[in-house]
Amino acid sequence: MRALLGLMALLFVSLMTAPQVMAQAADGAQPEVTIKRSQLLVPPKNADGTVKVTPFTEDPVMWARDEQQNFYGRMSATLKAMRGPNAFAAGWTLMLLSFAYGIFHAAGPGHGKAVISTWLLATESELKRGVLISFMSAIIQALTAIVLVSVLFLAVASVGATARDVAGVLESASYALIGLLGLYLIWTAMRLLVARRAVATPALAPAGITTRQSTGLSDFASFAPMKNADVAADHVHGPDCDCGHAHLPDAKDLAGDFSFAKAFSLAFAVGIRPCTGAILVLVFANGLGLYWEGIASTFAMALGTFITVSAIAAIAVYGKKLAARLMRGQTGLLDWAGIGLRLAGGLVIAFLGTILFLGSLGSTNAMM
Amino acid sequence: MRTRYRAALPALGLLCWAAATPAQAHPHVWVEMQSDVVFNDQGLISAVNVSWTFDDAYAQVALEGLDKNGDGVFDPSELEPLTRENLDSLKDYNYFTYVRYGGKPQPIGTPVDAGQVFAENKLQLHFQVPLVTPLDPTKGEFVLKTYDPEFFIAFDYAKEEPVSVIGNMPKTCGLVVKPVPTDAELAQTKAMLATKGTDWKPSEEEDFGSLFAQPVTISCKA
Repeated sequence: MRALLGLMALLFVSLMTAPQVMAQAADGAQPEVTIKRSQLLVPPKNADGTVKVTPFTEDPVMWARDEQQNFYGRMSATLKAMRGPNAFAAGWTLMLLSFAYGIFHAAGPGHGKAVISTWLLATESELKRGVLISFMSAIIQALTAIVLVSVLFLAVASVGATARDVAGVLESASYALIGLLGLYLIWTAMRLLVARRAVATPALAPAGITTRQSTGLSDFASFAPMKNADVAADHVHGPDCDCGHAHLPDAKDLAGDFSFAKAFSLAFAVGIRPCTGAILVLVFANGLGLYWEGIASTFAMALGTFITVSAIAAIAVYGKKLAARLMRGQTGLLDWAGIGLRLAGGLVIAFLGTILFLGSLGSTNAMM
Repeated sequence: MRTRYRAALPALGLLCWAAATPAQAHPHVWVEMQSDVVFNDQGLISAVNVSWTFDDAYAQVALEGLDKNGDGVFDPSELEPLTRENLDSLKDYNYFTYVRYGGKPQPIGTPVDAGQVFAENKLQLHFQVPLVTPLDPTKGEFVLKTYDPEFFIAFDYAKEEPVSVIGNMPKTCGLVVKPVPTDAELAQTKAMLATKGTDWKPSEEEDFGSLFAQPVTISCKA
């Protein structure tokens, strides 16, 4: 995939520079080579000290990383300024930045976008439910971070460590906890893998994109907005279900009558992982003795992630409805369009996922 | 059924964690360096020559696609664009070269004689950093440090000939390269830092990185 990315970037770069190169070749001059950002020793900077953001088209991995680095820099600068005379203004700035960070960061991996959007598509749920679940999971995520940091802070403070040690221990403890959470999730995945092997079900959920050679119109009944009763009646999910769309584990549980408990269970599963962006803000704010500003900023960040996740859920739902309406009455076309839509959507999601995954790996120059 | 989407969560969880830690606390490029302190005819320090040999991983990434004629050799002309762009971006990092005279930071000019060589499977970048004002080592202490304050790049002096003198150094002067700090010295620095409050900062315009960098000095008998 890395190779594919590189190839795409290279293709684009070569497309952009092709006329130039040809012009130079015509002059008989040596063709100019393009030095990619990843080849440089250090990232070029702007006049104000921020990193020059690599164009998305040149290297999406670098682009994502640069954007986040600049955001992070602005956030920590604001935290430092909060100790100064303008603490009140800095408090507001921190909240605003956290809000913006939430919006930007939620576009990255995590935050249950995939889970929520796929669930909406799979269960024909109305958008408002997705929005509600997005909101709940964002708030739960904020609360998890606040509880985690507060409990650790109190626990460490009660053993009488000095204030500076608390910050250090707290940060380490946060990372250790997140690490443990990761290990736990890996363990559940392993267990799942074993179970899957045993059952030997033919394919994973997204297989609907590629494995089906032809798709009957009946499959696309699901394109039309459905009443919950319909869903329960003719949309039966099972291991060998042939309905040609993604199966989410909770789809069956959550389909049918909407209940707050079901929505809450999904929101809770998504939100239980505290996002480290929130943890960092809390830990930093704590270290500076700005506990409440940290909590306010965490909620501002949650609001930001909620907006992004809802927007993505809306795109998923309305995109599907629009496609169904446009294609109504043209069954042959509808079949192909449906397949094409899923294929394109799957590719886009796979592409974005890979970019963000690689972008999050940390190193810039070496070890890619 | 409810456990099924959890399969995606380990990856998502790790991603969230990784994405939220942009501050790099460990080096990603290793440089073995050699430096020259350059004296002019008047016996003043006028420039510093640096030569950085990169680790193999960075070299591999950096050299990608630069062998234009495909002869398996990286000619100086083929490496020229890389050198140019590297120097251009290093400008905002002070070329990682910090010169102090009598304790005061000294401005440096635009590097000259930059070039890169790929030989014996090692990529090396070299350039000369001119001092804006030539410095008289008999009238004040000259200290040179090369380091990355963000520790993204780890600079270490080569074992062989780490620092040399070029040109007309006054007879009474000598080059002193402080050895790599011992564990005891590092413990001392740590103990010193432990006595300071969270507000403490190293003296004017210095940073924490400089506390751990290997200083090169020119010391002269009065």
